[in-house]
Amino acid sequence: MRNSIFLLLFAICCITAVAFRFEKPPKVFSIQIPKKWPRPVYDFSKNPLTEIGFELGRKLFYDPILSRDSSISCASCHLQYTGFTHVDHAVSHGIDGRKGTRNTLALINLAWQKSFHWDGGVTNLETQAINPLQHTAEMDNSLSAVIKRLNASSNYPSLFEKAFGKKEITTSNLMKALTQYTVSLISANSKYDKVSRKEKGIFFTEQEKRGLKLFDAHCNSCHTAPLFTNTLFASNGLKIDSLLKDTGRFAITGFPGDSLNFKIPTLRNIEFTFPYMHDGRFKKLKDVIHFYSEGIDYQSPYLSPHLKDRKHFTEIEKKDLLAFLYTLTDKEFLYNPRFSFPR
Amino acid sequence: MQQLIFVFFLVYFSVISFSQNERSIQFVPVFQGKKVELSKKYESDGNWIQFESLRFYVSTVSISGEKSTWQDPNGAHLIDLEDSLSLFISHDAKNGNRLTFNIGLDSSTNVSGIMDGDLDPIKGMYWAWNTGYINFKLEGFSSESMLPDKHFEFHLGGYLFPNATIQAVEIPLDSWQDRIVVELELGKLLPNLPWQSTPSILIPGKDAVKISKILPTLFQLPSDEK
Repeated sequence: MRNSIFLLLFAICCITAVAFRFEKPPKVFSIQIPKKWPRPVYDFSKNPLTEIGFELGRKLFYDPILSRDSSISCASCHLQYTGFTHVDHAVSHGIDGRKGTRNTLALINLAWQKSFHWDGGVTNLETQAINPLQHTAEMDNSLSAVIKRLNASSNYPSLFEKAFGKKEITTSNLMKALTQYTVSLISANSKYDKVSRKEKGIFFTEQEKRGLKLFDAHCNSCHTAPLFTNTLFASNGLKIDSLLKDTGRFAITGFPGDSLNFKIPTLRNIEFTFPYMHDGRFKKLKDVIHFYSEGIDYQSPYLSPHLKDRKHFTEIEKKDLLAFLYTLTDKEFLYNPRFSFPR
Repeated sequence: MQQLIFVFFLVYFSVISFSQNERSIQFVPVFQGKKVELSKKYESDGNWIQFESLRFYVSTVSISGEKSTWQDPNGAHLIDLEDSLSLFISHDAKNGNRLTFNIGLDSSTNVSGIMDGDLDPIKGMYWAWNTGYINFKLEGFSSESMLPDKHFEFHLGGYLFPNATIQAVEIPLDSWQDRIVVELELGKLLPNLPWQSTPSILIPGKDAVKISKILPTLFQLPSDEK
């Protein structure tokens, strides 16, 4: 009996030794933090970025294997060319065409975000993807089914082994791989950025300058440069949707003062992330500017203090603001082949 | 080859020392003094109850005595009635007169990103929409439930003020034994559950906090050891 145990243990050791072949760990790289930007919020020390980890995350992002019936991928609702949002959809549809209740958020500069989703219910980028993966109106899958499917696939175990040193795919490594990709989606090469960096030959037009001045005076306290969000929540005076009755952050914190408060989204690439607002109620950017000029519900007890001083924009001012907002478009980001479908 | 032999002996002696180590804390869920079995119908005072799932996190375990304190180095443990091995937490204390632990996880664990082992979200103790862990989960059927199918599910969690649900438990150990058995008397919890209003608590909030505050009173030494 004792000999059998001894032999069994010896066999376990041999298998362990083979399983943990000591290979050279993949080379770690850091994201490029644009000059004068704040330090990222994401803790890279627990998930050092590697090229193989990034590529694995990218492959997973575009792979419908994550959804219950393998019909949709993350990219189905987060399209690169439109700032990783679901262009032209007020709210997104997931598996079986099921509709959600909120507009898809853009995936831009996530390394600087303290919380995720319109209500900030997710507090760490690493755990964000669990929600769409399990949500019945999105991928409608279970973690155990996804992990089982990935482990049974022909290619993923070896890719995870290369990226994380072990063949067995776990929730942790799946989420870390996805994070390596999404945390790398940095947009900092818009015209605004180039003018700010005083790049040669790039200047604002007179209209854009006027727009910037208006923006600084009326928008920047919430949509604060350089991220064009202060990463907080606010009620911007939108009346509650009578059908969805979405109270926003209140559902997470339970504080009455958080009613109708939603994440302040980045305005980077705003030209292409239409429709706008948490429920996608405005199709065009000019509708949004018109709303801030004429549509705010000043009776709302939850209205952000930053919006309480009424500001009526003239038609010319609206066009100036629009011109400035277009300078936040970063085509190098939107068309960066490094972020596109892996071929 | 030398590395292989080293690994072998390391594993061998670890297994031998583990099998000899009988120092443990064992959680035994009971209902009116009887050991709880899942899917078994228990009758009491004209009512019946059937437990289908009982899981909870235990963290920051320590055993302290007059001279020394043992602090569990392993962080959090998921106690799951379905998994008999999970009911044991091994310890290294030689003596002690006080056992303390938390039911649930602290706020730092809740916001620290993706975790492995007992904290893997795959264990079904994680909320994805309002990220954070469920500290205590009790599910089953009861004649007292107002729902037509008599189902009940109490998922108690939440780490943000004022809805934090983590609870501290302190149990005096009158006489020392290497194997410490801690009963969890569910019978004390049932009269305090909102059977007629909300037999399905699935979000952090006042209701979850109210029930969580009762949880420490459930933990006790077996009556013959008191």
